[in-house]
Amino acid sequence: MKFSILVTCPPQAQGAQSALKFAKASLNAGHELHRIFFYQDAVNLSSTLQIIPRDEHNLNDEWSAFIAEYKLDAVVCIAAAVRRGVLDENEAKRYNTQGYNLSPQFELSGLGQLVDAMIVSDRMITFK
Amino acid sequence: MQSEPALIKKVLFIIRSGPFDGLKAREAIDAVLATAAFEQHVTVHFQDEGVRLLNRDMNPEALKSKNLGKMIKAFGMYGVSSISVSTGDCKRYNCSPENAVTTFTTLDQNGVRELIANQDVTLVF
Repeated sequence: MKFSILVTCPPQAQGAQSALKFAKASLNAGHELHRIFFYQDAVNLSSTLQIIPRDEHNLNDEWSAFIAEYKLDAVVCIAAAVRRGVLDENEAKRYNTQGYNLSPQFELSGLGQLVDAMIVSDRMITFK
Repeated sequence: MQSEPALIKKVLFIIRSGPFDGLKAREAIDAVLATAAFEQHVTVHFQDEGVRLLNRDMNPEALKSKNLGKMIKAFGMYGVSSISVSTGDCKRYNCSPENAVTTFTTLDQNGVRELIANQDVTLVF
């Protein structure tokens, strides 16, 4: 089965962790993960500037490591991201900001990538 | 052998977020319009606080908010095939054809269940 995952909740919500557990479980079960699309407050999962206290679980790092390990297609909605201060190098130049913070495992792109994921996948699973 | 996926899918958006709940409703509507622009078969169902988005008497500009009703009015131009509202929520939020920004049908719980069952993809915002 070919899955895609839509994550819309903030990193602090249970859904962000459940999405990661589902993604890992689906790969372990032999399914294909076509794309993970981060929308709304979930774009903050891709920010390297989210500082997590040492005694708390760092979900941002765990998502980044998981995406890198399996070379997954992890797309962050560009409009939702820039509104929340998540930028890559190009967007930082475009908006003339002091720096950028998108974790390198993620890619900024448009909602077309979400639609493509719906079309191509057998199932689209939402975590909110 | 697995068959190729259909290029046009039936996509249902259930919008439950109200007009003043941060960016949730705005971004749900953005996703509706983007999906419709890619020529998918899009249906939108409003329930809970989301029903308030249909109220044309709202004046969000007074709160310096974007008027999402104007975006909902554009659903038809984008080819959104149908718009519905949960019957109970329609009463709760005093939504009627006379005060709504667009035409809609009402669905009871069985109707909503049937609507969801007929989709390829259902996204809840």
